[in-house]
Formats: sequence, C-alpha cells, structure tokens
Amino acid sequence: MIITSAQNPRVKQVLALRDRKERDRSRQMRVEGYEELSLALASGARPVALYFCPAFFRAPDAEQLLDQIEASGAELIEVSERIFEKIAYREGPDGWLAIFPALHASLQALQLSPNPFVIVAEAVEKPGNLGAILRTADAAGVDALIAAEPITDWSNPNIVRSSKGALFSVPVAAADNRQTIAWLRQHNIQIVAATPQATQLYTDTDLSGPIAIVVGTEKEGLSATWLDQADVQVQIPMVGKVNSLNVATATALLVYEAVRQRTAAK
Amino acid sequence: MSEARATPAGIQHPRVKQYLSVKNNTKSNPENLACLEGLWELTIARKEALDIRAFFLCPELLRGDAARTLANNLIDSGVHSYLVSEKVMQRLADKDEPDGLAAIVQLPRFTWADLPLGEHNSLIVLDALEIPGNVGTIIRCADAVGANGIIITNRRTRLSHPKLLHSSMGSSFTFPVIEAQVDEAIDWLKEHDFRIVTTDTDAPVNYRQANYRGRVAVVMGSERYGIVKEWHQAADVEVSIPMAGKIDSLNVGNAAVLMLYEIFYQQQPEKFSSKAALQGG
Repeated sequence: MIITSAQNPRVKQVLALRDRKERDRSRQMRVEGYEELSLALASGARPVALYFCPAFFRAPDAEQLLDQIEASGAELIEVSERIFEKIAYREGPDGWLAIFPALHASLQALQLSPNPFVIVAEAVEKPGNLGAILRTADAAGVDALIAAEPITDWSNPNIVRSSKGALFSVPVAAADNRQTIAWLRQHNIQIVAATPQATQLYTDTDLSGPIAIVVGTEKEGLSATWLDQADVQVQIPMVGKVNSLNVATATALLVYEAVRQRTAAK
Repeated sequence: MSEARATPAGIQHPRVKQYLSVKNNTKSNPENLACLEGLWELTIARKEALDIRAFFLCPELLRGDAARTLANNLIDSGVHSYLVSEKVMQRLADKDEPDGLAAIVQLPRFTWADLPLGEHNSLIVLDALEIPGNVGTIIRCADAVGANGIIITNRRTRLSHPKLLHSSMGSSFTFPVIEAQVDEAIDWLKEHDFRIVTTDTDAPVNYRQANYRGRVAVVMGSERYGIVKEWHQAADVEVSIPMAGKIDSLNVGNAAVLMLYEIFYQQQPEKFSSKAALQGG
C-alpha cells in the first residue's frame, strides 16, 4: 500500500519529528537522504522505519539498500511523490527518509578508554559546527563528544547532515555544565580550556594524559564556569588581522595536537 | 540623522535590482561586486577601505548606536545612499532578522604579483572546492597564520558568494586570493621554486613529519573527488592526516587548517614559544 494522504497519522508523525519537542517525546529522529542513511547503517545504527518514494531515487543500487533495510527489521513505508515532498526537509529530495531511535545522550552511558580523551563543546549553537566537530572527533578516535549546556539536541537534522554519519560512530552526550564537570572530575580527567586569553600555547601543553578539550562559542568564548574549573588554559597563536578562529577549526587543531602527542607517547 | 540625504528607493529601483542580481549571481559581474549585510560586515568593509558602490538603509530596523553612527558616517562620506522600506530590506537580506544595513561593494582583485616572495612562503591551492563556507573558513585561517595567499583552480564557487564572505569573517576583503588554470598555477609554482604538497588519505608520509620550510604550496582537493590527476602528478610530497574513524574524510576546511598550522609551526617557530603567548601571540 502506498500512502497518498497528508492526513495519514504516519505522515503527521514523521513531520512532527522536525521539532525537538517531538524528538524528545518519542525518542526518535529522522535521517534523510541516501548518503546519510548509508553512513548511519554502516556505523551499525538500525532504523525503525523507512519512508521511501522510488520516483525520486537517484542511487543505482536502490534495490539493494531497500533489501538491506528490510532485512534489518525496519518497517518499509512507500509514499507518493506529493507526500514525500511534504515530509522531506530539503529541496530536491532523493526519496529516502528513515526514522532511527534517538541517540543515547547520557554521560553515564559513555564508555571511556584507559587513557580518556573527550571533547566538550559548551553552548555551540550552529549545527554545521557541531557536525564538523563530530567529523574531527571521529577521525581522531576520541572517546566521546559532550555538548555542555546544549542549545540544540543531537538529533537535529542539520547535525545529522553535516556530520556525514559521524554522529552515529562517535559516542555523544548532553548535560549541563555542573553535571559535566562533576563527571570529568569523577573520572580524573584534566580540563583543558581553549581561550584566547590563555598565556600557554596548546603546543607547549601536555595533552598525552586523560583530558577533556573544552571549547566555547566564537562570539562569547567559554563561560567563567569552565575558565575557573580549568586545569590548564591554552591558546592557539595567530598573526594577521584575524583574532579568532571558527570553533570547529580551533577544535580540530587542539584535538590533532593531542593525537600527535598521544601517538608519540605510545 | 543624515537619512534625509539618502534617496528613497523601492523594489523596482535600479540599485535595488542591481543588489539582487549581484547577490543571486543572475548577471555577469565583471567589476567583482559583492553584497554585504549587517553592521559587522559593513564595519569591516569601511575599515578596509573597500569601494562602497551603494548603501541601503532601513531606519526602522536599525538597532543600537553603532549602527546609527555607521549609517551617518557612510551618508556623510558621500556614498550613494538609498532609503528602503522594511519590506525591501527583507528582500535584500539573507538573515532572518536584518539590522537595516546593506551595501554593494567592489572586492579587490589580486594577481600573481600580489603574492610576496621570500625565504619561507606558504600558499594554499584549493582545487574545485564546492562549498562556499569551506572556502571562506580556509581564507580566514590562512589569514590567521600569515600565509601568503590562496590559489583557486577549477573554481566551482564564486568569491562574491554571501556565505563565503560571511565565513571568511572579512578576511576575503584583503587576503590575496587568485584564480588560475591548473597548468598555469603549476608552472608559476615551479618557476618560483615552490614545493607542491598534496594531501591524501593513502599517502605514506604523516603530515607532521614532512618538511615545510622554504616555499611550499599545499593542494586541497574537492569535497567529493579529492585531488585531481594533474595535481597528483605535479606533487613533490604527498602527505596524509591520520584518521581513526570509519568515515574517511575530515571536513576539507579542517584538513586545510591542520596543514596551515603545521606550516606556520615550522616556518615561524618563534610564534610557538610561550614567551610569544605572554606577549599576546
């Protein structure tokens, strides 16, 4: 059966998942597009349902992906072109929209390696920046990325999109500052706060032990809470007219310096 | 308020139409014009003495004294100024909540002669990058590390793209970016003794173990296709950035930033002592 009515409750449900309230309530999220869906599957995530519209398919191996999703136990729901255009987020949809369980985002669920390495992003608002930080986190193999005082939820469709699937391979959590700091202290993790006011350079800082690299928004920087709690504050040198870097850029530099030191120390 | 001296302009006014055609890239743009919006971008444009061809003001949307001062200064300095309604400003601006300021400016044009040559030089080559925000981020970071310029080959996004201008945070107003054919760029780099470095996930040399002293040009390939054959063949060194994860690519902007900072570290080691940090970098 093909859904052709906008009044269908399934259609209303998938539309409602655009809003955070409904994502929080139902503990489900949307993953739209062939590429994102493939990456999510490759990372081991299992969809609960797939809405699809073959008329929009562009991928050559669509049949194969459909079979794979059906075999994983997800419900397959075919919808008309008009309905798919209605439920899709982006213009020029490619006919794929899956519903996944929302990500586990509690600090307690995180598993740390023997030499913990985590990233904390305080109040970072732009999904594109969080997506880029996720890709860095994935490439560097960190234990977790924690959103402290989050402004958006991890299941935001724009994070799904810009992370290119890293959202499903990097363990993420969300918590307020107090909980995050308590959790870091409990696990004896050093707080390395990135701030232009620091007098120590990131390249002169020992990043080879249990660390959390903490970054804030580019406009406001880190809050006083993190600066007070920091075991060490580090800065990234700059010349030229620019006096700040994009938060995802700064994170990549700090994380890769830590990777270099940790690899050399092995 | 100097707004009495600004010309009222409706949606059919030629200048308003010109703004929209430049912003949406619907006409050829031989003068390298670009559209800016908001207090921050206009302030930088004025500070960098860009040629402001037209200034659009919607007094009802202005927020704060800084915005009013800037508007008055622009009108007083004789820039062609136009008063527009809220409705027209909504059409001009991309932001959800425009602050009543927009302008058409002329971006500077750079040539090979704008790339200074010395004992140590660093250039970034961006080949066929598609996402304006990535190009803007890389320009901003190249400026931050004092690199000498950016060469764009197989250009896929225009330098006047609003997202590029925004993500460069004003660096693209002054930082030398030149556009060239691949063979022209390779010839120029070889002729001026640059070593060409490509980045590739499979290359055997770790990016932090290669030598970047002297003159180096690092080539970054497109988000989708990576480095093209011509650049591979021209490469003197091929390096890789180690990755642990399942997806094999860092965002190209972040990969470029890692390369830029490693070059910065090797070419200007004095900036990486904590004494430099105490003195403010």
